[in-house]
Amino acid sequence: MNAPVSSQRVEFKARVRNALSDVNLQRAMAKARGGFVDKRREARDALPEFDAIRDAARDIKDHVLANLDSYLELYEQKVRENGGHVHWARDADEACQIIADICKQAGARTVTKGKSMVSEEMYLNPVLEASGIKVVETDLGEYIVQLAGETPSHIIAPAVHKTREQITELFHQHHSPLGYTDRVTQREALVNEARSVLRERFVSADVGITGANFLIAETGSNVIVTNEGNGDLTSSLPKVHIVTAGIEKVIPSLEDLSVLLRVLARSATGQEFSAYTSIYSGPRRSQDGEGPEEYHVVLLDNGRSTMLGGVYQPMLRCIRCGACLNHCPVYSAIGGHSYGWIYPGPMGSVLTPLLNGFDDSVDLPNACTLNGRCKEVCPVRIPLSDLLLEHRLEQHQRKLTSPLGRKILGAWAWLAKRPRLYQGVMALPLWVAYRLGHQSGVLRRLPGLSGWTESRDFPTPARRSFMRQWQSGHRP
Amino acid sequence: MNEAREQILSTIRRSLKGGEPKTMRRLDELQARLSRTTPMVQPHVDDDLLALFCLKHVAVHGTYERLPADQIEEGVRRHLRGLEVDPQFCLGGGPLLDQVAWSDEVFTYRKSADKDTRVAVSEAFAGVSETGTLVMRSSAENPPSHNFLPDDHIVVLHQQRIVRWTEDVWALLRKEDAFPPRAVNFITGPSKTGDIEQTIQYGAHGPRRLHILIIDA
Repeated sequence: MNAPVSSQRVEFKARVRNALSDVNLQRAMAKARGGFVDKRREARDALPEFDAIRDAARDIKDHVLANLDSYLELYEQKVRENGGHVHWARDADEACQIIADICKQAGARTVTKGKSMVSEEMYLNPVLEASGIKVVETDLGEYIVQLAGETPSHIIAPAVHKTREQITELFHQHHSPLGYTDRVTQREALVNEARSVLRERFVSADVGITGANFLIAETGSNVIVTNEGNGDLTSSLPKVHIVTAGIEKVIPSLEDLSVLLRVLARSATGQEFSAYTSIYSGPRRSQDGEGPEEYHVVLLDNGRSTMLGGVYQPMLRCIRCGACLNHCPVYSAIGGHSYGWIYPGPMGSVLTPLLNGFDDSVDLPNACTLNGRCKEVCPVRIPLSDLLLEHRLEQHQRKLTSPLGRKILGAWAWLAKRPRLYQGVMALPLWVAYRLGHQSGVLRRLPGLSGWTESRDFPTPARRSFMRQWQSGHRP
Repeated sequence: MNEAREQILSTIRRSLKGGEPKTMRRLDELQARLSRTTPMVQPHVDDDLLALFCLKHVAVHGTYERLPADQIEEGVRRHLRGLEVDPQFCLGGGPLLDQVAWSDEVFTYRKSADKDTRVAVSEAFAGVSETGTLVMRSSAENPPSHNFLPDDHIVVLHQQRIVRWTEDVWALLRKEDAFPPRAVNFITGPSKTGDIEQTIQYGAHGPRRLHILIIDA
């Protein structure tokens, strides 16, 4: 076991401890809790075909992944026919370099951005800012976290961890120099102020950068799904539009898009359809009076191509709806930042070790109760909790878990393979636990397990084990 | 850069076993799948497409009025009077809007919207009953800025252009000369955000209100 691993573990535990005692975070998360879950359930219940559509969505994604090389080539060819450019990036640095070069070529001073998790994965903003470009996030949630100097804590609700009071303070601090000197506190006024400030940015930006919910091979298009309209203003107003996307985002045709859209919004926000779903195919046409003169797509690999063909391949089906985050009790208690990288919750705990390294993310697959709700709600049926178990197995095999833990597990396995001895050895702690707790029915403290008993009681076990009772003829 | 492309593609091929590019036969199969336009699973949608469209549109905070084609100007003016807004707007085009002989009472601009544009009047390419969605197809006379910058967006939609599912829109789009157009914007209700306390607020960056004039056949 090397030093960075242990320091990371301390960091994760420290981050979680801070999150659990952060009053603002807990207030914000309490407000969000349940809302997404209820809305998704209502949307699902209103669509009898929901599960059949999920199956079809899974099949589409599996088909694409099995033929990913061909679909990427077909897609690239169509983008070219539309007059656009496709750039391939092996890793985050390469992607940032490509984007910085396009911006430089365009003489860009200001860049507006629609929400793009893949650009977060690239750490794009600091790179552009280092070359003197002003970067403005335009999704309201992304804008709020940018003002706060933070990263998103949720893949579709970036500022879910912020209270209204915190947003008021951020706006007051950053908008006062622009002439917005009143301290606004109401939601409507806050939204209006951001609308007014960002409007100026939209119309003055030289380059617009958006993500892509899907790339369509049939038409060489990128699809963006938003509720605010910021992604569309970012795509349409600047003279250069750059699309950033992971290589797994490509789908075959518009018919496939129909299927995937039916599960995306419902799973994400419980809407049947988001306010804006847009399909952009290249730069402006000669007769168009507006639209970007240049259209670029930056395809990011960053470890995805090596996930193909292995046990983690189903993770590449992910359409980034956030349902697994919304349904995860751990996420809802500790918030997104505790996970330490840009993808939080169950999907992040599977993806982070694969894209960002196993060594630095040992705790993530273990910070899971294996309740399986993530797997249950996933619109493309990714077996998330199974993949988290797979990670735990791999950690054990790679000896990334603690030496003491592995020894204990080894001893337990040795014992468990010897049933008579196992029962004999287990009888003692059982008897002690029974003696200690049989009057109150619960154990308030367990030696060495204070982490468990600090926040809940342990039920007192029966006096004798099930096996013993069975052998002595007791049939419940 | 080509090096990156080759490396990514070859890693994909290696991971997917074999490591070889697809055979011509396999590529033909994929091409055939691409050109197949049969829909996959679709939800049940009742036969009264107009009624469902209106229901869904109202459910996402939209408003509408049904009119004959010769009353479009009155419909627009009535709506703007209700909002106490002057009848001047960015104007799009299409089979319905091109036939309107606008009176001197209104001022129309044939240009892109800008940050101060108050109102735009557009013609929808189609409507989708399944979700109460408008389909806007970009063209010289219908720039996407009209869909996203004004405070108020008024959209004219011919009743016969309301289709059942999104798949029906693809069929209509493929019939057009310029396919794909630069932009196809699906619009379902006015702009909104839930980013402050996960509570919906309308008018985030796009139109605060969306009003449809449904033109009866």
